Amino acid sequence: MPKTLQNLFTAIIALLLTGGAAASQPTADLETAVKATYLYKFAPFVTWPDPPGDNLTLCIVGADPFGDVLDRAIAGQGYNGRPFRILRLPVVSTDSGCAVAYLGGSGDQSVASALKALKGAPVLTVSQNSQAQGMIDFVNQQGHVRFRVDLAAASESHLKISSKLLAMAVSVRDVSGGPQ
Amino acid sequence: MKRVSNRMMQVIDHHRTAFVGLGLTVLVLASVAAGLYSENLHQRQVIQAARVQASIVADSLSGALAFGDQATVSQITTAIRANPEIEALIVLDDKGIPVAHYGETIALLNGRNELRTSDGFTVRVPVAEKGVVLGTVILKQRSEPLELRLARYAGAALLLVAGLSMLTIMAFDTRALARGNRRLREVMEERERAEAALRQSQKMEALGRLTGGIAHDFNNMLAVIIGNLDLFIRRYPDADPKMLRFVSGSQEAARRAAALTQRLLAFSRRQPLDPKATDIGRSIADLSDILRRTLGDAISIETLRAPGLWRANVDTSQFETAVINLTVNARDAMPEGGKLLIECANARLDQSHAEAGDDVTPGDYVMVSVTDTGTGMSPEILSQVFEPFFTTKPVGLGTGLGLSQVHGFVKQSGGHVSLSSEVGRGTTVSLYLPRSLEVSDVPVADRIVRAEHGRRDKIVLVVDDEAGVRDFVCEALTDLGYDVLSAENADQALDIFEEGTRIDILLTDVLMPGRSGRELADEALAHQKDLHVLFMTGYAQDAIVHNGKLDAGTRLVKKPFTIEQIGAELERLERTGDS
Repeated sequence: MPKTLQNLFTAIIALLLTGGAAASQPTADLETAVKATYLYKFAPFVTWPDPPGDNLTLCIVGADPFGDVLDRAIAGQGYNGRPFRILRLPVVSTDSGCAVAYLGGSGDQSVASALKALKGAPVLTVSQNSQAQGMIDFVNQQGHVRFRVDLAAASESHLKISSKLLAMAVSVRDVSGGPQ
Repeated sequence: MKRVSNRMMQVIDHHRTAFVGLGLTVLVLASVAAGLYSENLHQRQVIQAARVQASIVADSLSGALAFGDQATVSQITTAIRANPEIEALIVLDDKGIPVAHYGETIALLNGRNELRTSDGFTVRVPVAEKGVVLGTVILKQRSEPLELRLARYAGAALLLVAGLSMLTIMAFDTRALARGNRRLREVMEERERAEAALRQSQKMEALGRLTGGIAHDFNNMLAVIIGNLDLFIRRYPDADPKMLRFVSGSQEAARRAAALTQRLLAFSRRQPLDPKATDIGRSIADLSDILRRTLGDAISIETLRAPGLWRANVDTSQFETAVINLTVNARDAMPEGGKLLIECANARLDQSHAEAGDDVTPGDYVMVSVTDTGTGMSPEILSQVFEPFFTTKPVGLGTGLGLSQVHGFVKQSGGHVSLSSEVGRGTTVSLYLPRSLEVSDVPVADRIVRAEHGRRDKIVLVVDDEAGVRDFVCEALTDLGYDVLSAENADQALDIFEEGTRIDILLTDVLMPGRSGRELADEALAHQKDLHVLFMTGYAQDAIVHNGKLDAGTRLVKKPFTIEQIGAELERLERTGDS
């Protein structure tokens, strides 16, 4: 059924080019996949005070919405020539060795307590749909996966976030306070 | 130093075309190389520009591409579109799916990073941040169109062509100039040679005039000396023998002086052709010493004289010159040695000869032939040998006048020349000289003895501007029994004729102040038809000598002369006048 295959392919390309404008809500799978890629793509736009000497570690703390989608997404990718490392933890601390930490929250450690545990540590915290928000917080906007950036929290942890990333953000909470 | 630079100039001159060609070739090659270098540089700049451009696009896109901001990607690609040099652009995400593009055709490069095509340069640049690949930008930079590039080079090419043509024109201009200079030099050299030849001939002419003039004056003085010595011996035959010996010694010296002046006149060509009965055989025998010296040891000489040889009516000294000229030619034709044969024989040319040969008058001739065993001459050369200045000898060795003299002399004498030659065998020149009809060449002195005494009842008018000559001649003629009148120039002499005085013989100098002896004779003959005229001269001039021969009926006595000689001339004159 090559015809069908071609139609399907065309649909995917159209979706990618238009950002899926036709659909009001991205499907759960697609949304998760996009978020998974974003998770590792944030890394090159962030500068840590001590550049990670070894493989850059992506931590999934608590509930893991990505599963092997994330593992597939980072396959073949690398940071400064070294493959990403994925670490799945129930509880995170400053000693966990995370560069980027997605805080899914769990009974062991809520998102808020995780943030508290990492406060001031050079770890890029990412959150979604929670009361306590990380430095980057995923939001849905007109069917698109977008994010907000808390620049104040980042600078408190001595992280520098590239203006390219800031330009993509839906909103930025600046050092002086308040969303832009 | 100057020679070296001249040599260099000659080398450059000779190889000018090669030098110019080489120069032009080098120039053209250099220009083409410069053009190619410039083109290459341009290409590299285009590639560099494409890479830089793609990198800028990739950098500005990275964020938008990473986080799927389609609007921003489109915005950036649309902005790039404003650059006309970027023909096409395509942006792929990290999965190789096109996100944005513009332009009709773009090669996807199949894994290569760059592709050069005739119309431009395509480059692929990854969109990456810190090694994280976010997508790919493929960009096609348009290269400058060929027309534009050619137009850019056309200006330079035009300058090059103009320079080349200027150089070429200049080079060939100097070539033409050099050729012109060479020709001018040749013409100048030719002219210098001609002027040198002219100067030489003028010098010889001047020398001739000078020696001729000196000889003339000497002859007058010698005439006085010889004449007075003669008179002394005639009038005082019984003088002290010792004294007579002194006088005859002086006479001998004076005669030798006279012979010397004759040689001077011969050199100056003032000597008139004086044909007289000549024993050709004896002349050649007299010359044998000179001829042997002329020929050298390698050439033997043989002389054959036919019995009963007639006498020829020629000028002896000119004849001798002719024989010497022929001998010199024969010698030069026999550089390896050989044999020279001189033959004398009588020849009677009849009508058949006259018809065969040109200008041959039938009659009796004395034939003299000179034969060598030398190189001989081809018919072409043979036809030219009598032309003045024609010579087969190297420059400086021959005047080209030898055979001209022979020819001129023989023709003037009323004879003719025949020439036969065969290459490699030798040459024979035969002179046919007119037979002398004079019975005998009786020594003049013999007749003077008979005529010495007795009155002659003849009146001689002696005209000469030189008092010494005049006085001597008057005394001598008185001694010979003539009645003598004298005048020192033509006017005085004509006065005497106009007075009606009857004159039998006019004895006049030729060259005198005022009217010449020739003019005097003409006017005197107008007064008195039966007048006998005898000229005396130191040298002959055109006034009485034409073409080197005396006018018919003109009688001449050469100064200096002895009393016997003048007596004999006067007697001869009277005899022809009586007969």
